[in-house]
Amino acid sequence: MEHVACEDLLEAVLVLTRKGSPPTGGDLAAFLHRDEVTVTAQLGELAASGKLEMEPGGTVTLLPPGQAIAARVADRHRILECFLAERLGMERQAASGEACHLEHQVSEETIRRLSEFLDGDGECSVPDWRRARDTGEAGPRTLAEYPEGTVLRVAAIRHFSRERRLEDIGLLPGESLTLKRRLSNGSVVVEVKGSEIALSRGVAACILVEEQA
Amino acid sequence: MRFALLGNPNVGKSLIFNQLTGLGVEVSNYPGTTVELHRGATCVDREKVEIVDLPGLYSIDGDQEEEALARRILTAGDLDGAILVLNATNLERNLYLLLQVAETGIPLVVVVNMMDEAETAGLTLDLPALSGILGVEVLGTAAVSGRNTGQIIPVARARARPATVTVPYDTDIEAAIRTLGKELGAPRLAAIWALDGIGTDPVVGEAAGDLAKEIEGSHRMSVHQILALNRYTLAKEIAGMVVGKASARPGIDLDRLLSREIPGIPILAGLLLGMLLVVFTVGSFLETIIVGLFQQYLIDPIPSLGLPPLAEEIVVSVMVGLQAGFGIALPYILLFFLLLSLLEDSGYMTRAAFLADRAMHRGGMHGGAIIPLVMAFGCNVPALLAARNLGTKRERTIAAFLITLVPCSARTVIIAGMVAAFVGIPAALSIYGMVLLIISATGILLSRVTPGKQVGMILEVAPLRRPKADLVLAKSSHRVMDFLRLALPLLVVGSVVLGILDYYGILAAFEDFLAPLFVGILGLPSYAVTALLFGILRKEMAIGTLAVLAGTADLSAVMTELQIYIFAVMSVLFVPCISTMAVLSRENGWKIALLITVFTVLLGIGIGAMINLAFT
Repeated sequence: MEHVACEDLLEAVLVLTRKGSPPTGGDLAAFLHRDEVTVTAQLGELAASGKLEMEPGGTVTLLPPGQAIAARVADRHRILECFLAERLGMERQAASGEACHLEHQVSEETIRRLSEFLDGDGECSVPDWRRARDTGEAGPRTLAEYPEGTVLRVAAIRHFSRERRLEDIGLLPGESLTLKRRLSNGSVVVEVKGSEIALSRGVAACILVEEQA
Repeated sequence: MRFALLGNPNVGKSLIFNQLTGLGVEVSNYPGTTVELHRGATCVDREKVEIVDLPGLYSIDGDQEEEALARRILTAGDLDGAILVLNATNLERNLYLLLQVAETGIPLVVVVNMMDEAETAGLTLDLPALSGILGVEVLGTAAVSGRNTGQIIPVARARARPATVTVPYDTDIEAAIRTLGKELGAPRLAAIWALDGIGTDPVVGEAAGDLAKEIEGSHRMSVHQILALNRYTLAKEIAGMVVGKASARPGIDLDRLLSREIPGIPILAGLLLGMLLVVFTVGSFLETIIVGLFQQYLIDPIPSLGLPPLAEEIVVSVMVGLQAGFGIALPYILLFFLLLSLLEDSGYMTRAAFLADRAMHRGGMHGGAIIPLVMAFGCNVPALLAARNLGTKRERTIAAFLITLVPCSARTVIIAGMVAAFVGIPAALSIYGMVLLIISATGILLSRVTPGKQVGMILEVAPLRRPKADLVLAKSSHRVMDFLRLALPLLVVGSVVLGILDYYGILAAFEDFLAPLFVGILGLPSYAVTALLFGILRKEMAIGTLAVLAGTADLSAVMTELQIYIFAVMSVLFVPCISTMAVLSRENGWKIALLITVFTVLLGIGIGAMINLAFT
């Protein structure tokens, strides 16, 4: 079986299991708009390779290898859907459909960068949102990850065309800043070019910083 | 002669403006914009010198309304020059604006203000060197003590000239500027603005758009970012040559208290509550006195004049209108603006906005909206005037809706005087609860449906300063005059119209017309219509009128508890008073004012009807 169909099927098992109880072959066929005979055959193949288990009652449960694949695909789906719908403004349905195609082809790096791009905005409403990024990785972070008083360097500003005011006020790549205040709700005050600037959480999340060497 | 006065926010620009122009300041919105411009004039050597005070700006290249306006004014060609005010304690950031303004080629005089603060902070500034680099006159001033500000106009008249400094842009940008110049004859300034996406010539704009895309592709930065980087590089270099090393800033850091969640938020809550209480108690105390004086000396003696009945009705109505205007303006609006100006001038306001930002976001606004919203409990009018400081039209619209729903002190008089007195305290509190729920729900709803994008807060935290009494007074009294000019004529006309309608019995006919609605759906006596109508002049007039029409001040004798409750809910929710509507339609446009009026009428009738249905 080709890997697209395999990934879709495993993802469908995961989604339906999370929604309620373990699905049957019939549930899966209806969910994926495929015919039940094909789905049953594919489930057999997956069961044979140890990715899932067919229960006596006709229901399907994921085994750890299948669970891992399904979770990864579902995560990618969420990230892509969130990006397409909330950053690019696509219809939620269309974004979900498009994400179904893209989720099988997209590279690890693209997903990691997209995830970073979206992370911290606090505006993604795709449910069950989780960070796909590995923890402990070096590189630019948002201001939210540093304690007050840290001297930092602006590494990059995301959505750069959106906030001209940031640039005019002197928050530019390469500029150094001091994190003066960070509230638990994500708003920050930074000192840049000799004055203190208060930023909303959403704006602060656009600013990627590095510790100054 | 005519000069524009411009500079970053918080550089003491308005103080300088006041010192340059003295009395006779005219405030107007620039045609077609919501940007407020102050114009003032003075006479020097028998020549009139007009000063146009632009709003505080960080840049003239941004996409904000006031930035676009500054570009238009600076390039319109009807100015003899610009007076650019810089902050001596923060020269680099201020030079950024200067470099942009220099590009327009307008004759300039540079005022480096706050020299005293720079000296306290241990900074030395080599102003002759700055003058040499920029190629224009540079004056060092300390506007707080009036040091050197008298020199500004004479120097501007005699020696304003275009700056000679130019920003060396990135080679690709310079190449694009040359291309646009050669192929389309665009001057340097027009080419730069076109590349930045803010040009006015569509042909140049289109060509520049293609070039900009190429540059952005190869630099992985927006043209605006590249320009900003280039300008800031030069600004830093100039500041480095002019400013001597600073010693560590002394003094205690109050921000350790003010901008933290604890104790910052309790302090903020305490301040707001305190302000509200002062406006509320002192305001209603003063209002009672003013309204009483009007009644005793101007309204009550009218019948003894022996005028013909219609004339008497009109004279009384005029007085009632004036009474409503002064009864609101002096106690509430003046008091509120005194307190607000204190907060603004001390720099605390920006801290309040920072702390409240997240909560305000849920209602589609940013932190700055907390002040108008809380102050609306005192009086909606100054709250609406204060809401003009909110950044975008979207925020102002949402804030306007919510402010008009907030039960102001006049509506509190109704709640207290009717519901608390005749129904009970819990019932009175339930009205507050209901209104707060409606406000939250409306805010959440409006943040979804109001057009425009949600803008995050990017706000300079102003340094804490001691407010100057004269400036605070000047600012507040200006606001009060502004309100009186706007609302008094409307109040008088409204009052006269109501009086005449009443005189000819049209009000009674209207009452009969609406009786089915009021008696049938709301369960109210039909004279409640008239009472509610008079409540539009001044909300608490609804009670007085009701008592007159009912023939007794003991409302429980003529109305059931339910009727009293419904009447109070209706007058709290439905239609803001005339003063509020006047300010609304000026600040937010008549469409928004009409929309809010219709919304509140429907809301009042809807909720009143629901309560009536639920309890009968």
